[in-house]
Amino acid sequence: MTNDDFDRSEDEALSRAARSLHQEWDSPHLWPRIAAALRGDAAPSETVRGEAAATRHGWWHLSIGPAWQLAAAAIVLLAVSAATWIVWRGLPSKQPAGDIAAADERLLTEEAVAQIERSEAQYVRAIDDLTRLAKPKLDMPDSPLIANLRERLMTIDSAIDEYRKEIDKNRFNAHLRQQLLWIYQEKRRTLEQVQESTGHAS
Amino acid sequence: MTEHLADLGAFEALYASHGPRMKSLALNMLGNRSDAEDAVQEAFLRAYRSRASFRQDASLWTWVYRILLNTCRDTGRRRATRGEAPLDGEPQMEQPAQDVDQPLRLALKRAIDELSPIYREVFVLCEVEGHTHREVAEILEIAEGTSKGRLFEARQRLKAHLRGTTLTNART
Repeated sequence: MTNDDFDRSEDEALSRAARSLHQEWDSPHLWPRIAAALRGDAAPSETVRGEAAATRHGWWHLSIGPAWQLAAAAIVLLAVSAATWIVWRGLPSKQPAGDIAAADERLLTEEAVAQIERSEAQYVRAIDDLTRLAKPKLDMPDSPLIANLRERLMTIDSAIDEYRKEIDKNRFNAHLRQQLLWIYQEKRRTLEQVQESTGHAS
Repeated sequence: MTEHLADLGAFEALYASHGPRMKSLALNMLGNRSDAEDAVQEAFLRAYRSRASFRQDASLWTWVYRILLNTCRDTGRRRATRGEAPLDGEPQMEQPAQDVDQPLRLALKRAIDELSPIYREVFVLCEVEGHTHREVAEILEIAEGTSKGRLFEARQRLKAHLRGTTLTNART
């Protein structure tokens, strides 16, 4: 074997290994999520996204005990209440004339709300499908990881209920819908973790 | 409103044709699927918000790829600031690559992560995702010759990194 042959076989091995790093996987929820954000332009801000990433890579992943989980649930509910309070405080029933334009910017039009509700319905259906897929694993009693993820899902579901109640009172509030979208994204990620937890659960 | 819907249609068509490769590109830059999907979503949002600045003489898809790479760099910087490891905590479902030496594949992944970004981006775009130098040049806004030079340098560095271990076994 000459040096050229030697280099060529090395190059070929490298190229073959590189091509194998290309991966494709199904993400039926991803386009509805993007489309919903584009339609409402209601994607989480950089700050909120940063916080979401910190949450995902930070304390959620710790193996926490029941007391901490209760505390975590309380923090989420407090955050929900605080956000709601801030929004309602920012929208007084009798607005001074100068504030009306600013308040309008926080409110959605009827047409935008209809579009967002359609996208949300699609997103909820996709999450329901994921939930059905994840159910057999969620029902497994002996895995600490699954137990942890199940607790997290319960917390997320209670936060979703809280937001839905508030949105029912004020369908045109963009901030509440933005927060709800973020929580749905957390639920989706958690369900994906349940799905991907085969090795840990078995 | 009509223009808004037309823009949405263009982005949806772009996602349909390039979504899988964009997710793979982001996965190879960030290391896990969840962050990769977030990066693709963020890239579409950034592109949509700044669509007025898109030059009509350029390809929409190469422009969105450029935004995606910027998004991945931002995520990398955020991780570095917080001291997060890219692969920790999220189990991956890897596609089995039956005809590829698995130790070499894993070693290559680690070696790519250690490349500096300018070499990593060109290597992933060309060798992993199969883009031509012309496309890479347009995505990264560099000359085609620069793309070729960076790919050559990336390959040399990777081979040096892998030589004596997995690559030696794989080629025999």
